[in-house]
Amino acid sequence: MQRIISRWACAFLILLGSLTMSSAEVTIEQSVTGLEISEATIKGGMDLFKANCSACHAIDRRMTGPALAGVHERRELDWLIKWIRNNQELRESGDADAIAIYNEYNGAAMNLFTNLSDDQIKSIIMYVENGGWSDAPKEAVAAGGETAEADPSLVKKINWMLLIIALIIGVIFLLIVRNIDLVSKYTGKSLIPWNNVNAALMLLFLFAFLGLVFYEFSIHGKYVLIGDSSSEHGDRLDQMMMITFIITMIVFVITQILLFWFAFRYRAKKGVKALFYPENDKLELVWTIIPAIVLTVLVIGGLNAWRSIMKPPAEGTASIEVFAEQFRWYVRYPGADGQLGNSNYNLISGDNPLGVAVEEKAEALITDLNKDISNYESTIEGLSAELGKLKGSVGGLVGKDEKILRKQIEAIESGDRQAELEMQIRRRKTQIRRITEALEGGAFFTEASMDDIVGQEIHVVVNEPITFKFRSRDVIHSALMKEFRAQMNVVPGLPTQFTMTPTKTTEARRQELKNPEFDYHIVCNKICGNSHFNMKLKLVVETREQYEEWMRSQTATFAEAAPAEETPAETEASAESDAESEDAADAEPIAMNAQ
Amino acid sequence: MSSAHTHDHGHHKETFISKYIFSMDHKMISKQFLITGIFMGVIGMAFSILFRLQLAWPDTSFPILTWLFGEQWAPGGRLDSGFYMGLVTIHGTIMVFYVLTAGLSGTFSNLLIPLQVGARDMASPFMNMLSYWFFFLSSVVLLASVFVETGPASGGWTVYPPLSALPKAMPGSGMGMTLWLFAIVLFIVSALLGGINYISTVLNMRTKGMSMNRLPLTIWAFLLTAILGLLSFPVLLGGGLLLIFDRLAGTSFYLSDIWLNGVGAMEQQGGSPILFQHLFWFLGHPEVYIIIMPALGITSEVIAVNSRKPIFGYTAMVISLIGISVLSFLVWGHHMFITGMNPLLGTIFLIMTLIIAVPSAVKTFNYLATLWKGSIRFTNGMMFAIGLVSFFISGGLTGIFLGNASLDIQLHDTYFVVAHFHLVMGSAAIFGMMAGIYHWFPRMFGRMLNKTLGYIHFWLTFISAYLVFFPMHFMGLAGVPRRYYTFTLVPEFGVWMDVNVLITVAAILGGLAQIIFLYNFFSSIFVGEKSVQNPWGANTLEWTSPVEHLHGNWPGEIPHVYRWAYDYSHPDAEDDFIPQNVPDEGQAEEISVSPTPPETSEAKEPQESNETVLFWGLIKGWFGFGRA
Repeated sequence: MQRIISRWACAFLILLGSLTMSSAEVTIEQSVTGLEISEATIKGGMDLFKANCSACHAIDRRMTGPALAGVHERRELDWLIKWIRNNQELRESGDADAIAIYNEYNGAAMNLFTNLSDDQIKSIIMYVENGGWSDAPKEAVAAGGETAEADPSLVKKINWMLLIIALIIGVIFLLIVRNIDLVSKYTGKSLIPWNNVNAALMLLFLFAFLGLVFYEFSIHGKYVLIGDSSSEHGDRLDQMMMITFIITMIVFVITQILLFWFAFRYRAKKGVKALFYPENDKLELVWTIIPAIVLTVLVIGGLNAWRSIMKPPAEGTASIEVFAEQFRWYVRYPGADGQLGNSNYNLISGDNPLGVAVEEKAEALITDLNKDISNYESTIEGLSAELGKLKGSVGGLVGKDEKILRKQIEAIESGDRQAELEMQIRRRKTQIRRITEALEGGAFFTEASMDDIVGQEIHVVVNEPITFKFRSRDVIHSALMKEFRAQMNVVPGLPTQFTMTPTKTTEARRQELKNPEFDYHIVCNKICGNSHFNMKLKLVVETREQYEEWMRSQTATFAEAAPAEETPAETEASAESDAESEDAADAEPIAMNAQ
Repeated sequence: MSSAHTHDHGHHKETFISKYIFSMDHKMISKQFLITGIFMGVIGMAFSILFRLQLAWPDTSFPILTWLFGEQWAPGGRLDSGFYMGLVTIHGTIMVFYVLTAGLSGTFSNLLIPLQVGARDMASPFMNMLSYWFFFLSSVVLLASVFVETGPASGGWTVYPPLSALPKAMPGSGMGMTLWLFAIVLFIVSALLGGINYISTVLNMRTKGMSMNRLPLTIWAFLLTAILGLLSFPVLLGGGLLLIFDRLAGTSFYLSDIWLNGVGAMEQQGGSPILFQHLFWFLGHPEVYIIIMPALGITSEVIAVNSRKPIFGYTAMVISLIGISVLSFLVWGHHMFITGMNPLLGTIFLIMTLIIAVPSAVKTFNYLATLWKGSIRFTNGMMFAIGLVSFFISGGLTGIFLGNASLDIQLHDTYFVVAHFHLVMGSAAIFGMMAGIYHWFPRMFGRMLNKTLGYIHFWLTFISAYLVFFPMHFMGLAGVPRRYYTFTLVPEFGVWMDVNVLITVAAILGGLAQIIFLYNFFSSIFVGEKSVQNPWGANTLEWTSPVEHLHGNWPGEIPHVYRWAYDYSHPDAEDDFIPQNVPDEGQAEEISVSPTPPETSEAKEPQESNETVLFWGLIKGWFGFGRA
């Protein structure tokens, strides 16, 4: 423990020292990407980086994945593009560097980005080359200048000194305790009247404790989310919260005062005998019934609030789909027809991350899957050759590299590798069968999906109810929207939803907070993997006009020929057919599931 | 362990192994549970301080982390984000199961049940020994899981699938997760073996005159805890086994519709991740009462003894314990309000959850009434008991927020939850355990703990625990999610950085305080002041047994019981306590005429050695040594 203490010194010295500045200008003169260096390219790279990479990577520090600074010097451009697009394929092709990285990060596989074009990947790399980009340079940089990197030998000395000082204090302390005990023992009476001392300390603690509680309210009370909710039901919850808060605070203060006051007041005194008072039925009845009544009030309030929040949305409520995966959120808009098309996890592919039912994509996916299968098959056939090659190259390696290689050899020799490949083939075949059956059934692939819009930013209209339909690709996530007092888990295989009415636009909330940079976010609130702490989706609340204007700038994701000309104003018009189509949408995935 | 010298009582040969290692004596087993529990507690607490370093100073390099965990898990002195989660997970698992279930209930149920009900030993000493060794094995497996190549289980101590079911979902779901599950299976076996034993001992082996309504409240608490464990642990066992099948055998109990990075679309369909949560919390909620009830039982005893007053409302205390036990099976869904479970279920769990607050409130008020007009001696144990009541109030009240489904929408999985359960079941139960250790140390080791060090330990721990957990309420109310590696996701979290530093410094202070305790504990075993037979002037039977440990607990006949355990400061008595084995006038003859065979003690002894013989015979049989 003392070792840890002694780290504080170095902790404080080095703190802030590692903050690095992200520049707001083009700082590079040449780029490995071969693209023309321009602000636009770098900014485009930044947008892509933020949407795709930043959950796991930072430029200047290791996060879930490696720090990216200098990556263009460490690796070839071609390799980088291959790795970023499909690291799995690269690993399976036996690329030693790829396998080494995978192992260095303990088998945490990087996501696939088969949807990114070469130029997009290059712009991300250029953004990294440039050392990032920041529109608003931070003043925190100034602090970095003051605290120069501490002299390591000095830090070491301070550490040792602190350690020794701590040890000396500890020893002195023990000696004092020991002496007090010895003196008490020989004089036959306690040197310190411990009973009275502790009784007094109990009282002191009470004052300090209550004092600190109210002090903390005074400094942190303003961050507590009560009374400024941004949704309709949120006001009601805030009210409920306030009532519960007041009741529990009263009980808290009274009982803590009684506890410590009794402890002080009834400390043992010479000649005073305790009162023999084993029970009092009336008294006990009173303090059973009063809590029961108070809790009944809270139960009724809670039940009403819960039922009104959880009741099914009114017919015609607009809905959007919020889709979660490790470690990203997507949103899907129903498009002009107001209907979300069907979707299924079997249809997920690089350019269809949500698995929306689009016939062309499904057919292309089957081709890809078949290609996968033949790849796997040829890998299986080539296993013995690969084994020979691997064995041949063991000789020159040492340490970690050798360990990795030995593991690969063992995986092949034990048959694990083949079993895994066969399992993948089986999975792909099942997937193809499921997709084919759905394609043949026909009803699953409807026009409704064709005008759906997939994006990574939620826009909703103020004062209009909206239903979030949640779907997860892999593990359980949870969508927490704290300003709206809303949260719902996102569970694979179990569609969930939450309906709310936002009451403040982003703009209004910014003014309220006097913070022009404020944004609403959905953040992940159920542990979902190594980058769980870094998974958010921006949520914009705006007026009808702004929303429509934004919507006009969006193009339907899957309609290639026909850009959506209709305005979403028709959303409401088509709302009546919504319920019907929703039923159909719900029923279809089941049909697809029933193999 | 000088208190356990030679003893002239045994009819069978005692070797070092049969006495200290494979011991069947409940007192020795309780010490084994306690010391293993303390060892696990030290690891659990150390882990919490290490991951708190990351939260307080996310950009700082701590070479100690690299020194401890190597470049792989702490490159450059900063914890890897996956390993951070691993430490959080193992901290939770150790604290909930290994320290506060086995370490608390295992220690004190073992020590006190036979001694306080007046029995020579547990109903089955052999099963009791097995219970400890399964626990030991389970601890070893869990600690081993920290060192496997892909790291320890990292999905949180609740191990929700699919994250925990898919080895490729995160590194921590690999071998570490498999070992975690096996450790828990072993642990459950241990808990069940112990629980059956506790129940049968309390129900069948009480001494003459020890009717159920004369049982000390500790025993009531241990009995109901054991019943809860016996009814709920098998459900987790089932749930855990199904999860093992999903991981290793390709079944789909908990899996459906998954497209996993690195794998693609998976075949599994029809399972439900929510099913696991139901199974888990069907144990998980009773589990928190399995943790807190023994602590409450210990507190009842310690407060009564040191206030020199009868516990107020004995009957109400027993009824509320029973009420809590029954209701604890009907509230598990409050952990799952927003999992997508039918909202109707939410309403039912909301009602049941808030009802359970009533018996808890009654217990608190009864503690306060016991203190009122008492003559309070601030022994170390008493101070920890008072600390427990304070935590129980602070943490219990926030349960009213979280049990309310509508408020839980906002508070679910935020730091508010962390604050709530660390106070009401973490700190409170640890304080109950500490109260028990300080109170019964003389009974366990025949020596006293150093009182002055005890006071310092109490005040530092008490203050640091509040400093650590109280500010977390505010973070939770501001919507900060738990289990985050750093707080950089949205700018609003930034204001909590200085609070994080405060919490970590307080946690380190709390950790240092435990060093004082460890020193006090282990040195006092050998050099502590010798204890007298009944140092606290307590009424219960364990203080009538001699300081020197005997196999069989009492040298002669087992004492008979003539009164309840709480005759403190009785107006008719001169002393301020009347032990349970002191008869009222006229009562003594009444019982001695009754046909109690005086040879009870002798009758019991051969039975035990029989069992020992049986055990070694069995072992020999298995390994073929017995065949001549």
